[in-house]
Amino acid sequence: MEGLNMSIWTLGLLIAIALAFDFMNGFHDGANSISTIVATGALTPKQAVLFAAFFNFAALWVFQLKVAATIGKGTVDPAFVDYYVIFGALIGALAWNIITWYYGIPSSSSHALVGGLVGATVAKSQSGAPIVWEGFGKILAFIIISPLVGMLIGGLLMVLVAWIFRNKSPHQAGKFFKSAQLFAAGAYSLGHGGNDAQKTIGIIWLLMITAGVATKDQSTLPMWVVYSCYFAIAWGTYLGGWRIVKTMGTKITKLNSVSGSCASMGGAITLGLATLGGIPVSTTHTITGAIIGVGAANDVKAVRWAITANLFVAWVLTIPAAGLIAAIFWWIGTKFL
Amino acid sequence: MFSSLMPQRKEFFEMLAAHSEQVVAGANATLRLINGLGDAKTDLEGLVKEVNDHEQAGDHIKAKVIERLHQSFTTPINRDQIHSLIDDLDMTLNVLQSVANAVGMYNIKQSTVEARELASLSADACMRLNRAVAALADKTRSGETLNLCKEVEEIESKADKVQHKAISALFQEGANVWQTMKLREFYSLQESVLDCCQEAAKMIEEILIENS
Repeated sequence: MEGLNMSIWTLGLLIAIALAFDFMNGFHDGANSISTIVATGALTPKQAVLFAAFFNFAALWVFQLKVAATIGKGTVDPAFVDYYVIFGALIGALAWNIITWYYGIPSSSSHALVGGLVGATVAKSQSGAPIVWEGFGKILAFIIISPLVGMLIGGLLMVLVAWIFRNKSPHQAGKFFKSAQLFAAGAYSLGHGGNDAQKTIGIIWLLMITAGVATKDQSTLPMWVVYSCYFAIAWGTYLGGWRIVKTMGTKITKLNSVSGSCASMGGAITLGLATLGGIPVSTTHTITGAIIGVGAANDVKAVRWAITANLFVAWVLTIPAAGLIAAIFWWIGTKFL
Repeated sequence: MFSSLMPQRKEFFEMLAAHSEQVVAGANATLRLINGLGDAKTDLEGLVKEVNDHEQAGDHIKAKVIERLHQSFTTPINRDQIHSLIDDLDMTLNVLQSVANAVGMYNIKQSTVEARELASLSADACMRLNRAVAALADKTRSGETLNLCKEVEEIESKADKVQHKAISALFQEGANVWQTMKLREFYSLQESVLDCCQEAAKMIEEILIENS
């Protein structure tokens, strides 16, 4: 393997880029988990980011590294991967994240990463052969499944809450939900950290496998990788931007503390299930689905379907766009790295 | 998709319809009262009492609606709109009560053609309003409901003209000053009933637009 010749400097540089991607992921996606609590005014933006950052990091102690394993060895065959591929994949995903962040489109960092990885690998091998369809197929399927499940759970939670509180006014119920939504948002941040930090862990793992400093056996993965990935996402979340908070919290459907809690909880449950199953899903897709489900329960017309369609276009574009940028950077990498 | 699984709370429509029944009954009793003025056989006191009774029944229903609004997590239409509509309906009934009581208060012994016309227009408007409120729950009938609201508004502008004509007639040369004062006040109360009906009709239109 070429990777065996990788210098410690190149390895260090790529790990730094991976951590930067992780940081960007928190910067970009972490806001989703708190959009509802900020939109409903339960916490100030400052408190909310701190809150989300804490729970993102706490996910370290909650979930096993199943998602990392899917990314690290279940998406493309590690034998085809060299550091040019990882370089292309990371730059492709980073570039796409920055583009979508700039325009305030809630796209998925996860799919950007997977798209970048697959794009760079395919560019290198000039064929689709290295793609592990079992893992990649699962990821593709969950592009559709995760928002649908989020929508279903979010909507059903809203229905359940409406029946439980049917003889209380929303104002009376709102007092309970001011605290309930903090719980829900905490759970959601936990799910976000669990699923998303692990994607970067997976990439670094893959990088270490190609460099020959780790194997497919999880025990060979150094713990500092795990810690630094969780730290990077939590830090990114803390410093994260507010553009996406605005889109998610107010543009799709107007949320109050009740529907906000149901949306966060719907997202948290879906993310938790996916993380336990080792499936890398998009936190963005999941919370968007849950918000739509809650909006649909209240009133179908309350969901602004035009904006929802915008999001959908961003989703469909993410994998090919990140893949294309990754392929270009793979080529650049082979010339200059 | 999920909205059909939510608690439906149809009782708000039922209460609104029940209130508008009281409005119709109040308007009809007022009409009989005004038509019967000057006729010795008319039980004027009984009719005034009837209007007052309907007004009270309406108040009870309104109180119940507001109480239910405080005890309901979901409402079939916007909470504020239910509140506004019941307010408008109740105001109509309050003004009808003022018209009925003004007969005794201003000591009006004889009705005029214009007073009878205004009373019959308000009975007509209230009847259409009642049909519109009753059909509010049924989305398939929204076209019909919208037409009823338009008709209420047409009746209101017709009543404006009648009032105008009636007041002009009062201020003819050589008119009785006392009679002019009393009737001007009375006509203006009668016209207010139709203004209230119009407010309610506009509220229904707003609800229809939001839920179409």
